[in-house]
Amino acid sequence: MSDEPLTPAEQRLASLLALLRSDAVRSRPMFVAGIMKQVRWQRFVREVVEAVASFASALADGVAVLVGGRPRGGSRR
Amino acid sequence: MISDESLVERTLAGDMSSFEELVERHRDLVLRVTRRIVGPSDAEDVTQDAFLRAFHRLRQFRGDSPFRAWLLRIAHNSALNSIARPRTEVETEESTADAIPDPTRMPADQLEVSERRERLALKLREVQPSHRTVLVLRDLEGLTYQEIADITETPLGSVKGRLFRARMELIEVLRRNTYDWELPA
Repeated sequence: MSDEPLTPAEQRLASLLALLRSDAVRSRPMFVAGIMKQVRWQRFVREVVEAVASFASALADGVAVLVGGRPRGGSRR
Repeated sequence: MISDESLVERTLAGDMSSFEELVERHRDLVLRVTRRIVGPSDAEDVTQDAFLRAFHRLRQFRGDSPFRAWLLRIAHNSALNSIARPRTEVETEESTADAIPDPTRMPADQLEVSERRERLALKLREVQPSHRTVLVLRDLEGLTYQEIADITETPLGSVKGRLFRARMELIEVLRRNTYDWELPA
């Protein structure tokens, strides 16, 4: 429990906490599948949002070039 | 066995089965820790939230500390956010989703141990969250002080101080309920 000698109260606490340590908490069998379903869905949404953002950015750059401005990411030299 | 760090790299390269392996490896630890911090009824939600956040922040993992500590830092923050949300329901350890009921009737001594454990878990949740986390990580999960400092983002010296205060606080809470405190271990 500690690197230093324990007081009687701390020893008592350690023995009580041992009871909690022995409690084998386990997740439900489908728990990981549920998390992975969420992960895959959020990954899909993120990729779609990134693709749309990327397209919109390219479109904005194209319009900027057409109207005589510089692309936002372009060189300033 | 493939290291956690390699699994992170593979996940970043698009291999989702590697992330699934990371979830498999660490789910019980994260669930145990979140359960001790937020209680059984919210533990699964907080654990799921922690893994989702970890997935989206995987590029931020630098490998300066072990993946386990990095993941537990996210879980710890998710747990504290969950505690900060207002709630109305009263919790008991019985409400846990992962407590699989024993189909046969429990022998009396097993039942007594189970009830004692439940009372202790409830008393533990009376300790203030920042102290509770340190106590759970050190005295229940056996993590090093350095790991706890990384997870809770506090200096090493503060971790030791918090652990001392957490133990004193829990002793005080348990002493108020003399029944468990005075029972033989």
